[in-house]
Amino acid sequence: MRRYVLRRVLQAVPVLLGITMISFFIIHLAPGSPAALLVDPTADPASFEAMERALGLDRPLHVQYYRWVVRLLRGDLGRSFDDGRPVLERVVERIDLTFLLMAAAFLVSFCIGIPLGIVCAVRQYSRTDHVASAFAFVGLSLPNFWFALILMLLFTITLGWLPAQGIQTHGLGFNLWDRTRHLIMPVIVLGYGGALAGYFRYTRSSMLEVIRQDYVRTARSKGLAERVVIYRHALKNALLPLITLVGLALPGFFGGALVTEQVFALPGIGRMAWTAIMRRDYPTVMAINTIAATLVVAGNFLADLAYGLVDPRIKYD
Amino acid sequence: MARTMMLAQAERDLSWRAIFWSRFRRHRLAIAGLVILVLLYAAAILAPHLTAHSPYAIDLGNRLEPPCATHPLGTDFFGRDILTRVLFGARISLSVGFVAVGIMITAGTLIGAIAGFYGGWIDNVLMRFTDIVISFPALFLILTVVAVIGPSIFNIIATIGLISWPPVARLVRAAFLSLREQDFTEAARALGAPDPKIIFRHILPNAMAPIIVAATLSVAGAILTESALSYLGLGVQPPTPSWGNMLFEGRDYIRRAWWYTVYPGLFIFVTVMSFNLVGDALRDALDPRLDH
Repeated sequence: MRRYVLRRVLQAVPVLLGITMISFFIIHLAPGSPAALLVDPTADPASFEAMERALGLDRPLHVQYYRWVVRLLRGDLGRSFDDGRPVLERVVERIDLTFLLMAAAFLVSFCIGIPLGIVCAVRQYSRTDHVASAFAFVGLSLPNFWFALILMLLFTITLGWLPAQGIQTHGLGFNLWDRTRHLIMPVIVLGYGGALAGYFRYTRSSMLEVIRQDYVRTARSKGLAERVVIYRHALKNALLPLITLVGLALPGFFGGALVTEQVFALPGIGRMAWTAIMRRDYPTVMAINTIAATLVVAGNFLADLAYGLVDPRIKYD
Repeated sequence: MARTMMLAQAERDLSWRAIFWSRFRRHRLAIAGLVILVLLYAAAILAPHLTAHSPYAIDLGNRLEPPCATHPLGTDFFGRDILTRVLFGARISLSVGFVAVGIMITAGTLIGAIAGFYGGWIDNVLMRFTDIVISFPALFLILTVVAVIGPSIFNIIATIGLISWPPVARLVRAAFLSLREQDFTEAARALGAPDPKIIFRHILPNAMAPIIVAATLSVAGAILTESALSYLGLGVQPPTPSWGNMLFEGRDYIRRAWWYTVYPGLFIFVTVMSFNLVGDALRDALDPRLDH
């Protein structure tokens, strides 16, 4: 077990280096210089060069990357080209909202997708099964930004029930109910999507497979109540592999958060990422990319570990 | 002798096709999806003949007109007919979807086939590379690349295709890992067939079913990605109509003109849904293990 963990951690290092290297080179190979956006266009070439030197952009690319990695290892993500503040500080300020959004959306998709999947497997081809499958299918196919606009049209413009923009009512301080109201639509948009459909389909097909196994037939023929057979014997085995899906859903949630925060004008890191990309704020783009990729790699690793812990058939060596 | 073999082969083909069709046909919604897609493609190709309006003609006297007889889906901020723009936008969205998936399937199949066929260090290197690409939050990376190289249609297609291949590579690799151990591969090798011939003539045709399913479902994904890019302002640039950038424009007038956002999005939704339905039915019809 310890050897397995060690090997996986060692494997993650080149993956993370590869990710940061690829993003670094893509971002910095862009024609033109972000220094041009920061100096007065009428300024003389000397001040432009001074700005490039100040940002470290005059060095060869591999040197810039090496310096970026060295500083990263010291916990320094550089300063934003946008406002000159440390990137880490800017990210920390905003990341809690994105995490909250992703966690809530994850709960929504998990708590709807899995029970629905169980019910549909138990009553395969029933009306419930058809309706629930259609529900999951619609979620899979909905463009999230359009879904957001439709919700706004309905709940904000027509009914006037929910606010459509921002995280709190202007001028109002922190108020839990106000915050919640602002987050209802974003959480629905992020939660009712590919992840929910994924959990639903996985649970349904996995349950259908398990229900046909011999040990389930044995449990039934012992005369156990159907509920015990389903929830004690079948469910446990059907849901084990689902743990790995949890890790795989992370990149999707990141992309979803980016769009959702943009539509609802929420000040999270998804919106910050978009602004940084548009303004060519290299250090911020690099930082968010690195954080997101690290979370994805860590998420997959933890999911694999957890899978091994709950399923004794799996041996790591 | 040869004739009987050919006849037997023809019979097998026929029955295979019959089985496929009888399984596919069971999914009535997928048939509906297929019909919708055929109609959409026809409409996209025939767009200039189906409408009396031009997608670019500005008519400031008719701005933000609600749906009516002359403009069934209303008009936009510049007085352009939304139905016309949606039809012309279908050309963009559908071709982006197809070409991007073509690139993605080609890249994914090549990488997965080579990794699965040769194994060893080649497999290791290619799969670590796949791990790297799959760990990027895809939309984020695509946005960054498109922002860097410029949002032209060609760049968008290439970027989506070159970033979304990893799942296909994993799928193809898994199929190759089991197929390369089969007797027919061994036979081809014993007959002295060169590696590319074994890969493309003998193994790949047997791995086509999951690839076809993945391709169909990926067209849906690519259309969604393109429209998200356009919605975020980094996709197809106005005045060229695409479903995503129409939504982007319509958003500012959502209080005054609901049709401006509702209809273009509805087209994205229905198209993506149709591809998903067809892909799902294909999975069922092509998968020999799923026997009901």
